[in-house]
Amino acid sequence: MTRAPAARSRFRCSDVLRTAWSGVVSRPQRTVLASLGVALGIGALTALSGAAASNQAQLLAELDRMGANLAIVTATPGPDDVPVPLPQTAPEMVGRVDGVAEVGVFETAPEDVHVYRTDLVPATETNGLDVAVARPDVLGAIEATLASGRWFDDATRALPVTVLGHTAADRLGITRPGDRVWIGGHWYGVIGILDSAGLATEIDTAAILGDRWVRDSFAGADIGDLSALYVRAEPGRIDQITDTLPSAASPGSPFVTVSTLTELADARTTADDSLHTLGLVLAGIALLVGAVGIANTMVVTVLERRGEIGLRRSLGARSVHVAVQFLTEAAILALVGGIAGLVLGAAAAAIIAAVSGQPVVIPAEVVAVSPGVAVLVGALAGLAPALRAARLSPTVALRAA
Amino acid sequence: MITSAAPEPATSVPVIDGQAIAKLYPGPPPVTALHPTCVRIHAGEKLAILGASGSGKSTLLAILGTLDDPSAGTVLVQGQDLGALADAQRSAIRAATIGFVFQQFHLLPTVSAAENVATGLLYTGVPRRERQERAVRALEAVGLGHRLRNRPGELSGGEQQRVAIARSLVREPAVLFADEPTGALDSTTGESIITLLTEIATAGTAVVMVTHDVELAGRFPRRLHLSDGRIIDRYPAEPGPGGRPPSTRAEGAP
Repeated sequence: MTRAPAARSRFRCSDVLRTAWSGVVSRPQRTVLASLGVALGIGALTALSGAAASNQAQLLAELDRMGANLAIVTATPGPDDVPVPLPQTAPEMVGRVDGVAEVGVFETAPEDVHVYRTDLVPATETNGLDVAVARPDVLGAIEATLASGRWFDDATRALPVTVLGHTAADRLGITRPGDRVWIGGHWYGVIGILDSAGLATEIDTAAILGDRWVRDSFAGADIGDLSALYVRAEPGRIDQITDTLPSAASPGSPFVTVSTLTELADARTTADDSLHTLGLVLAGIALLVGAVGIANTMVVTVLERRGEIGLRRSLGARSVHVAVQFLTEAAILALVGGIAGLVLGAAAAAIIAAVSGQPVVIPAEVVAVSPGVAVLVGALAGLAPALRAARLSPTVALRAA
Repeated sequence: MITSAAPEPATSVPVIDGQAIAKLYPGPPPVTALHPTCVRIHAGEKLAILGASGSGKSTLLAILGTLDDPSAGTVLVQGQDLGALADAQRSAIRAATIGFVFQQFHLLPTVSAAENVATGLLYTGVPRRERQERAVRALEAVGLGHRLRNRPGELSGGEQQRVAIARSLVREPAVLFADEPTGALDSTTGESIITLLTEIATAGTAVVMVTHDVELAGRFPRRLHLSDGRIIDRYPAEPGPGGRPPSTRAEGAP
């Protein structure tokens, strides 16, 4: 003897992995069949959550277009019942709030100014039409669209031109840009006609003027005051920013109102939750089936390999070494299936999303968690067969083979 | 039967000392596979355990080889009482001291001969590189230096048994138990395996072979003959329990 016996027999970690891996790769057909269940489970999890996420991304984008992510900041009347104007710094400050995507600014319209087809129309025939004053950033913030012509840019915001709301253009009988309308005693060229007023429905019946032109050409105490900020949040962050908006818009002032389309925001949260739950339940069932498949395979494996178990015991393996080997083998089978499922599921989700024209979204948490879930499922499924292998008496195992 | 009180002629500590070991399988009906029996194995000994099927010879081998626990009696391995040890220590002793060779070889079918032999050291704490180097040397020692990369399926039965023997020898065990090592081989191949085993014993490792073949057993200088769980004959004659004559055939055996 060249070596004193070790106090305990050993099974190094790297040897456990190598032995278990050899058990997996040396029986490729069994590996494929055994890991198929977990592959389907993880694949279903990935495909379903991917499809759900893509679907949800589209639905949420839809809801956001409907204004679920809109907050309107307005000035509130002060103690003297006169609105306390928002500070001129408000748009910039609000724009800096984390989670704010866009800010559109409406300014106070000059009083008693209306829009007419020509200068011959009596002043009382207002047709129910108003005048609004907007900065160029409004168009994107309210998601209005143009039927024809152009919206304000840095040049036209300082010129005597107007963009008409859809209804306003109808009532005035204007069908295309280029015509003139009579506003507040001046001719204005129509440069654009809105198709939809987006979220600021009141401008559907208004002639919109550029902010610089109004500041330069109209007199009045409140000309240039900010009347409303249309704030669009980044997806899913509307609740978070509503609390910060008042202090950002007008620090220290209580005279600020922030209103949101609460019901839409709630609908968004609900849609978020229900789709998520459905995906998880379906994937859970698929994984359960996968676990049963692995457990089944491992039971058969332990029966088939009783000779190997007896041999390993005769070579000095402790029963716990045998258990660890088979447990690791089950976990590797599941991991192989999990990775295959992840790839297949992601591909399926991408195809589904592409076919139905939705954005492709594979939730990062699914990618991160799937391998761990697979290993866990495999270990749980392999536990009973592994313990059975460990309990097997070496002599019985050797005789049976 | 009584425990052995008479001192053995050998001066050194026996490699394996089975003292009044017995095996009873609780029924119903209860079956006595092995009646209380004393067997001592010394370093470098060549012992054949002879008996028909069901005579208890495999049970005796499993108990002496620490694979099975006796229902009564004590097994000492190099003076250490196994009954007092936990599974971890027993496994360590098995890994370091005892080698096995089986009738069905029990090779892993999916790995090479060298890898099979290296498995013999898997549970001993020897690093992988050293395991592989020693496996190559062990295969060369049994005359299979040219078959290192072959899988068991590509080897003849005799070669497979040589791989299995190399897997035991790679650990340099104090004792090698061979359970019907030629049972699955033709007679010529079996002969060469027996020759190999006797050479191993000459090199210092005790070899204990279980067989039902009287002729093969005759190749071993020391023999025990089992029948119905009792030793009915010992060769050469040993002083029996209490110094009585060796033949125990008279002792109420059916």
